[in-house]
Amino acid sequence: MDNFQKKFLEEASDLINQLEQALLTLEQDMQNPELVDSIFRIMHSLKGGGGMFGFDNISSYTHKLENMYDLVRQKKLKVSREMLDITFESADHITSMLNDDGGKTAEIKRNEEILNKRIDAILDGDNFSSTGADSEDSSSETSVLKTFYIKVKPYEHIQRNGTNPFFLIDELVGLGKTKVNIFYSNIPDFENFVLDDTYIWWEVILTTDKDEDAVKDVFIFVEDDCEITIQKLCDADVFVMEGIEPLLDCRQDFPFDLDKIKTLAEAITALEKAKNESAAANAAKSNSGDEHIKKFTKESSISGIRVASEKIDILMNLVSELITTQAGLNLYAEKNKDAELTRITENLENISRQLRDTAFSITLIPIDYLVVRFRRLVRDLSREVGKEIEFEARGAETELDKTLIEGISEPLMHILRNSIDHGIETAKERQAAGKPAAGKIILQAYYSGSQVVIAVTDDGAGMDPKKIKRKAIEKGLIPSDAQLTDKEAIDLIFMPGFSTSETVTNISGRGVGMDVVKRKVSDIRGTVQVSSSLGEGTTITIKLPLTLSIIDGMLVRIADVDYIIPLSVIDTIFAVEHEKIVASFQNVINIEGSQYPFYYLRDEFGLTDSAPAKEEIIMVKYEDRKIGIVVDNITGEYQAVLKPLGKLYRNQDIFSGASILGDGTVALVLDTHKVINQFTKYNEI
Amino acid sequence: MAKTILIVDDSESIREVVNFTLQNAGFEVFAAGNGIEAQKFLDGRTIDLVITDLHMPEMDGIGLIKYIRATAGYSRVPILFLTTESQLAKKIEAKDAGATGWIIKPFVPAKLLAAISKVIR
Repeated sequence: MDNFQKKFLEEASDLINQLEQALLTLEQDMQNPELVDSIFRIMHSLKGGGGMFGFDNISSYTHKLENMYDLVRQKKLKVSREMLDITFESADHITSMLNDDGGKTAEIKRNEEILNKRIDAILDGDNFSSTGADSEDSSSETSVLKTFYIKVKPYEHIQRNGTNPFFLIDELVGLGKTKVNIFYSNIPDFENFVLDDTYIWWEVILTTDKDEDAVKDVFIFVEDDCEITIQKLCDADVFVMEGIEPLLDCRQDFPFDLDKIKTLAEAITALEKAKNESAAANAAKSNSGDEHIKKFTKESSISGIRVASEKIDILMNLVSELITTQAGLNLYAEKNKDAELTRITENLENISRQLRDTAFSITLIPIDYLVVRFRRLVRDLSREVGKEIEFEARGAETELDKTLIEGISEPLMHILRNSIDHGIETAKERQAAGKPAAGKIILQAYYSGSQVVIAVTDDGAGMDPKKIKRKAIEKGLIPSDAQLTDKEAIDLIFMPGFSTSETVTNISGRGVGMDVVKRKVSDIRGTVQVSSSLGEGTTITIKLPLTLSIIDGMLVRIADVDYIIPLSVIDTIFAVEHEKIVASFQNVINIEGSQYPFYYLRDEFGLTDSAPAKEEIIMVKYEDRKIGIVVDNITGEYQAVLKPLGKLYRNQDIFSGASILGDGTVALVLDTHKVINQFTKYNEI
Repeated sequence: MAKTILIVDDSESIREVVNFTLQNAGFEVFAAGNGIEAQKFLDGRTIDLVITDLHMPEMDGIGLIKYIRATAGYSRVPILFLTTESQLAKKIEAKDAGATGWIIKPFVPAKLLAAISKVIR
């Protein structure tokens, strides 16, 4: 059989060479009937040979081409350039089919659909679509990949009539891609073992373009000699599905979990279908004339699956628990100094770490997800206000935790509205100021350490600190004699009840001010900064943590209680003598020649027992300054899984959460920003 | 080494077609005109596959199948029999006698080879 196929393959590639030769000549001499004849003959040979040697796809495809050239022979159709193009591409296509080892079947299928459409267009255009001699032939050709589950349980006597059950499995394997699971559990002990009786049985997962009858055909001689179950799992290739491997793991004597395979396959096929539909819609839009067949480039596998977000939440929760438990194990192993235990613990830690990172990355969504919406917003709003505005998104592939994406959407929308409404000037104003008529808004996202920075920049009028200050005084937000730097003045926009818009428009004048933006961003542990220069534009920068659930922290102690300070806010750490702190004036300390304000948490927390002789002062970033926070000592870096505080403590602003340490004790996570805010207020009063 | 096949049929043209097809496919082919001839041929010789017609003079296909199954050294040799679509009863009889599979007449070379590939490799 194989020899025959090889023979045919050689023959077929010769035929294709001849075909290309004939086509090249035909291109010069489009009406030459001899050339048309020889092309027809080549098609005919390919079709016949294909059918004879198991290349049914080639046979049915060439059938169509043969029809087309037959019409030319009968002078019902004229050779056209498109027809030649199609035939050239068909030569490539047939070569693809001949060389297909099963891996590219999907692409080939796609190519074929494109080509078929073009052939149909030619036939249709001349009202020959119905001349397709046997149309049922081509309709039966819509074979796609299907996946079957096959259970083969031979009766003990199967070998007695000369059947070798291995050949059955071999034949199944020959039909497509397979996974074969083998069951040995029925093999009797030695005394009861009958030579030549069959005790083992199999399960096969098969992906093939053949239909169920072809699978049944394998067992045609042995229908009465074994128990056979054939079940179609799905109309798709399960082997390319992401996440399928563990389900196709062949563990001898353990059956495949069909339900799981089916569920996964259904989920993925549904996703694929949706994709294909939208692709088809796009293709339909972009006029079918431009379609080109693709010579396969690479295996296109399914790039993602849709999972209910609750499941992800559960996963993240479990991972959190795992990390906590892991920390406990680490501690225990360290205490026990057992080499084997240490080794296992380290291995496990490595795995948990990877699991954590992978699970974590699952929850990430690219900012691009929002950008689409923003583009639309900018387009619609700029029309509404009669301004010409370009919107550019840079770094849209930057990924953020899904909860952050949800949380950041509204603030960003508001910032964009502000830019469109107040920031960017009208075309006339812009031209008068010597700027291009079209304004520009750039949304830029990038990673910065453990943070994600999202900056919205416009090249509009910028903010006028004097105007802002005047407004703030008018509204009674600041005393009329307040001395403010320009930056401080601009920061006034974050105060509740502030709005500089001269006229309230229905775009940004919705009662939502920058104060709300700020609050919303800080709800997800982010910060907002604004910088603006008059006449040149404004940039609003949002900094967000990468994730909400796990933070890299510094574990510190104050009077035997553990606290965690996020690493992202820590600038430097100095060790200082307790006396130096006591001796400092107005909570300002001089370190290495610089003056730093600091907060002495022992005092702030109202702890009265004696402090250690040497304490640590942690410089944390606060807006654009550095402020010290004094703790007793530093335990070390710690990966903290954040847990929300209980109801009773929820109003404790300065703690953003808690984390359970390996030994089971609780460490509170300090929100240094709020620590500073709160104690500043407290001290000022 | 090439696999050996014994074709048993009283029709010379069938023997020739099968012989030609199988030799082209790389098998070593022997032919016998009926069951008795086949018996004589076998007589201790190793063979990988027997293809037999069912209707033959002297000893018919069923008899041959039974003989082969009952003979030491041949009990596991795959046997394919030639039949026509209409002979369902015969098919069951031959299967019960110990045949491995069948080939439906008339057949094209590809069909013949496909059936053979199901029982020997």
